[in-house]
Amino acid sequence: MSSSPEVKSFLLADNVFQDAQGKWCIIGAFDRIVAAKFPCKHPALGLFFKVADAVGEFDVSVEFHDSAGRKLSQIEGLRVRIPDRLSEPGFGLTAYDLPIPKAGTYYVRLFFNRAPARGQDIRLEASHGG
Amino acid sequence: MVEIIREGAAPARAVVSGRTVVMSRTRRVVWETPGLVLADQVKGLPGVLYVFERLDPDRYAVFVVLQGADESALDAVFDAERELYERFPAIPFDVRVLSHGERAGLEGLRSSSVVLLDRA
Repeated sequence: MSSSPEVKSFLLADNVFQDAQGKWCIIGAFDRIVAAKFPCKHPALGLFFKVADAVGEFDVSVEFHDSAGRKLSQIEGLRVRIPDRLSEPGFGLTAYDLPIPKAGTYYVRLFFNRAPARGQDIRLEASHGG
Repeated sequence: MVEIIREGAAPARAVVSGRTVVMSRTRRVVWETPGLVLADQVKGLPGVLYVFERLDPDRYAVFVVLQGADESALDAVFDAERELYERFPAIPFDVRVLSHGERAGLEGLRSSSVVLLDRA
């Protein structure tokens, strides 16, 4: 039976990609978005997560919530396979066009098979600037 | 559905339509909101000029601005709207269809909303 993975790492970055040797490259990790005006649309957001203590196949979704706990947007249709409970595999995504309605605090949350992942959400601050 | 597979230190592989390919880049995905999905579905319809999305206190307000759209385009917008309610059961929203003109208040929408489609 598959148990839900524990999230060991969960990062937002400007760029997340995998090189030819299979190493994950996470460039420009951040937890703050500065925009000249709101509402705005963040053009591209890299997500990297590393999981442990699970085996099996999982439907993965990512949700973007405001500080009141309202779900504002989602990413669905992803599926991962973890072949070995002792492995700690990493996964990277580049997600486009995240609408951010106003300055404030937001949370990015991971779900496996529609259940919240064990581990921390990402807190993201959006603020006015230059 | 694309399956992402990562085993040991080997590069990630994706199984696409039954064929395994090595992923040299990350999987590209798009955030989904009711407005973003609707804009993608109606962007090819004749007469659809703009799609805006605004987060009101209790829901997303999605605005579709039409100019010279015929009955079938209007039906297609409402069909797309119906599908959204199944896709976003946990995100409250409504869709408002406006005619391009004075009452649409485009400048107000531009400043208070995210512009998701602009074919003007």
